[in-house]
Amino acid sequence: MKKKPLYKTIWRWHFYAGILIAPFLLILAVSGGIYLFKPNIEQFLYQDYYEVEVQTEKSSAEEHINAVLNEYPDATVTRYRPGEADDRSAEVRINLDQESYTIFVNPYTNELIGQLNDKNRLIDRVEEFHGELMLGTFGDRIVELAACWTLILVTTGLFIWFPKGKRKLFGTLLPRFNKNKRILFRDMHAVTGFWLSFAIIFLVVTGLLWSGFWGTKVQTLTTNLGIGYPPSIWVGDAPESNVQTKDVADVPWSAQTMPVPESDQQGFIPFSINEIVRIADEENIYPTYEVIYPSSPEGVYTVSVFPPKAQDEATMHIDQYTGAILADYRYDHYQPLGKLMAWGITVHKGLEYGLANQIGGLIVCIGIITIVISGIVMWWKRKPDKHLGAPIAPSIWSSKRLIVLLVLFGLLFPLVGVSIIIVFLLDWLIIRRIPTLKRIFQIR
Amino acid sequence: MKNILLMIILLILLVACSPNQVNEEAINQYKTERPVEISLDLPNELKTNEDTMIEIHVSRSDVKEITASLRKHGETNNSINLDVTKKKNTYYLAQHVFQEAGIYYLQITVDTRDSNIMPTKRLIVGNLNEEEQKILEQENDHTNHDEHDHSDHH
Repeated sequence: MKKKPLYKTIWRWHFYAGILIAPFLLILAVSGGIYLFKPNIEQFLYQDYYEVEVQTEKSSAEEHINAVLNEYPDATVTRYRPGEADDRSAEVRINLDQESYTIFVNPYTNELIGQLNDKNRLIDRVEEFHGELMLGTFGDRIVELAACWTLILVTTGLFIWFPKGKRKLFGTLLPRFNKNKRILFRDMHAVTGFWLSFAIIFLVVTGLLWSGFWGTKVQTLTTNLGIGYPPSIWVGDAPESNVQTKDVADVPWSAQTMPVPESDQQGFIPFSINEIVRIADEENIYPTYEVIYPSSPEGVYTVSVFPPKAQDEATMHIDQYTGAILADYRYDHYQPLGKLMAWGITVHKGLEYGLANQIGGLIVCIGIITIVISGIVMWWKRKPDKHLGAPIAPSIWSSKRLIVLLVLFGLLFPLVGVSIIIVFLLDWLIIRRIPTLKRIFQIR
Repeated sequence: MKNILLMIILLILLVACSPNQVNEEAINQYKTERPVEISLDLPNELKTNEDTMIEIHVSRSDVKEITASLRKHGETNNSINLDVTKKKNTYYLAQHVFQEAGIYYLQITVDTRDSNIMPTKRLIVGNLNEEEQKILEQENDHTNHDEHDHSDHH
């Protein structure tokens, strides 16, 4: 069958993008596959820290925190998480010597059960690998780029897969096991790819919401337009306390003998953590919530919870001096796109539908690994010695529709746009001017 | 066709070049609260054996209940309730004669239909002895000063 130029061009794109993106897809699939089981793995790893023997009555949040501060007098408390069940420990997050620790407290006896340096949390490191390859912002951009190019891979792949001429069940919707190896690898790649295309697009788009460039842009835009998350959940600042800073009690005086300055004779004092916990419970916040301490004298207490099901999410800001609820955002208060994103995120993480969700996610991860490996094997088996084995490049200018699509896609995902421009410049300035490279990349 | 395409491109560019900043008005498109605000007016210097006026101003007129209670530092279970009288629409008054010097905590609770607050003000009455001075210094609490991030959503 004679292949049309458009088909060749698309195959060429799929080929090069695939080779470049393959390592990242493998990393994302493996780390993602592990991360899906975060709750199970952490339950196993930290069982001794999580579980306590049930006794008659829990002591107050303040007592838990005081127990921690007695042991670590130089620490700053940043978060508190009351245990959600009778046999679950309370957690106090502290900052000590520039490092963040979680201290597990027996809520009945105020005994410190264990401490964990947060940078040693295995699953958090897996997550860091998944989200930014442990390379910070640079890694975040690379992952975002790989994710966007995955969208190109899926669409070009579907185009190549789409049966031409007579439609056959085997080789399109079902793999052919009884033919030769080459056909088997082809079917492993294309048939799996077809079946998982929707799931892959879903994972890429929901995953992109975390990305620092595209994700932040989308979050800001939808929040500003009133169609996404309310401010302060993903983007935007929390409200500030209504109490004027000058009315707040200021404690530390430099010298012990100095009399109390007159301006400090009366001042509001911060609310006790016990009261914040009481308010959170009264307002029916999902019990795995944590309380984030105010970060400045103007700041607020934030009660925040992101449970397995998006519908249970809550973010509440409480004035640290008056106890007034300044904002109370539940899933129901998210605008339509915010709800959709929240649901997408919990499904992405394998949380929304429990075990079925985790297994579904795992199947997609294994599928992605299958697609990547079979794709590489197919290329390796076919690859001639003298060049990369991509189809011969027709001029990109031959298809106007393709250019329009590329421009639109490049604008919608600016990092892709930038990378396409770089590829174009490399091609134009270097590859086309060096004969060896021209041969390798099969350009005429 | 070309015009539509141009429009789309311009629109995307416009969005792409807009700063990543949440507008201050954006918050009004979501659920908002109407928290009660309060301010307390007391004499600048509080003395013992003097009738002290505590003026309470609240920001809303639909107050269902307002209370004031006072306790001395260290006497956790020994607080007294002060009588609060309504003077005007949003203006209330309480009175008290402090018998001894020391550190006091005055807690006001204000309940409305949809917002409850209970701020506590620390009052310093008369001259403090050395022990009380120390208490104030030690209260330098261990909370705060950490950046408030959202990293745990991920």
